[in-house]
Amino acid sequence: MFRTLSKLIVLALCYVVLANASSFAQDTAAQIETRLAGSHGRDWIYKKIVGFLGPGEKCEQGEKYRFKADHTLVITQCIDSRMHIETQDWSIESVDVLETHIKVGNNSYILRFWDTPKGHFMALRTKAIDKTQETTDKEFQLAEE
Amino acid sequence: MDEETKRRWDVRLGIVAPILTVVGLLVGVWQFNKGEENKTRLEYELLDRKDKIDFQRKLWLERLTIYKSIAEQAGKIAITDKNDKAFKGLVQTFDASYWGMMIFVEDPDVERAMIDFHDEIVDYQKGQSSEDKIKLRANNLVKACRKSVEPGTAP
Repeated sequence: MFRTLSKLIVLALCYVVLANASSFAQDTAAQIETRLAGSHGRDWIYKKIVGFLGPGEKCEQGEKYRFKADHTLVITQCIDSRMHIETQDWSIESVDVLETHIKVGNNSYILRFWDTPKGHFMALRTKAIDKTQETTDKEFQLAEE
Repeated sequence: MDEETKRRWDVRLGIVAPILTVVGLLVGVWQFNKGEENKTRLEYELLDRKDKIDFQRKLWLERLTIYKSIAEQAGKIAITDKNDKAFKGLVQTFDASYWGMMIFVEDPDVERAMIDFHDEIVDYQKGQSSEDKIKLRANNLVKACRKSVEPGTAP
């Protein structure tokens, strides 16, 4: 009787420990992919695209990344008053509790998400290798769908 | 052997013997000097090695003290809410160590853990990170510090 009771107590303690550990559990790669690209694709705005009125595809400024669910990324940038479109591949390299690594083209970044009352945000982070370097973030806001 | 030959040999020996004596003396002096030189060099090398070990030991002890201080700072930051009045002061103290004493003692693994913790604090202050992540980063930092001073690392 006492043995069974003690086993139950141990199991209950294990559950408590595991339940606490799960509070640090991270999203899976699939969940992160969905957050980034949705079911088809999502537009993330780096700089709002401002176009000129009139004919042609002239623009003033802007840059947006469209992460697609098929792991392609369409980068639309305004360069020299013209819209440039470039396509690259993306993939989630690794996921842990603290960092998600994403490969975009040939570059590797740390992928971060956060939400504010202003909207959903994402950043591609290039981490400093030593203290003399700077950690840089390229911050994007999710375009309204 | 006739008298003449004996006399010649005596003369030859009379000349060669002092030369040999002088050469022997010179070799002896040279050997003595060389020995003294080697002894002095070895003594200097020994002193130099002892100085280096003393310096490394002092640095290791200093590292241990600073790591303990950093572990305390990281722990305090990890358990303090960012809206708490004390939070800013704790971060300032950490930043002072980050750009100061830690550079003096940290190894590359600890430096990386410091950068990670520092970046996480910045994210947390901007509302882009969580208390849990700060705690995990603090945990990683303290573990990196511990690994850096594990038994066998002391000189």
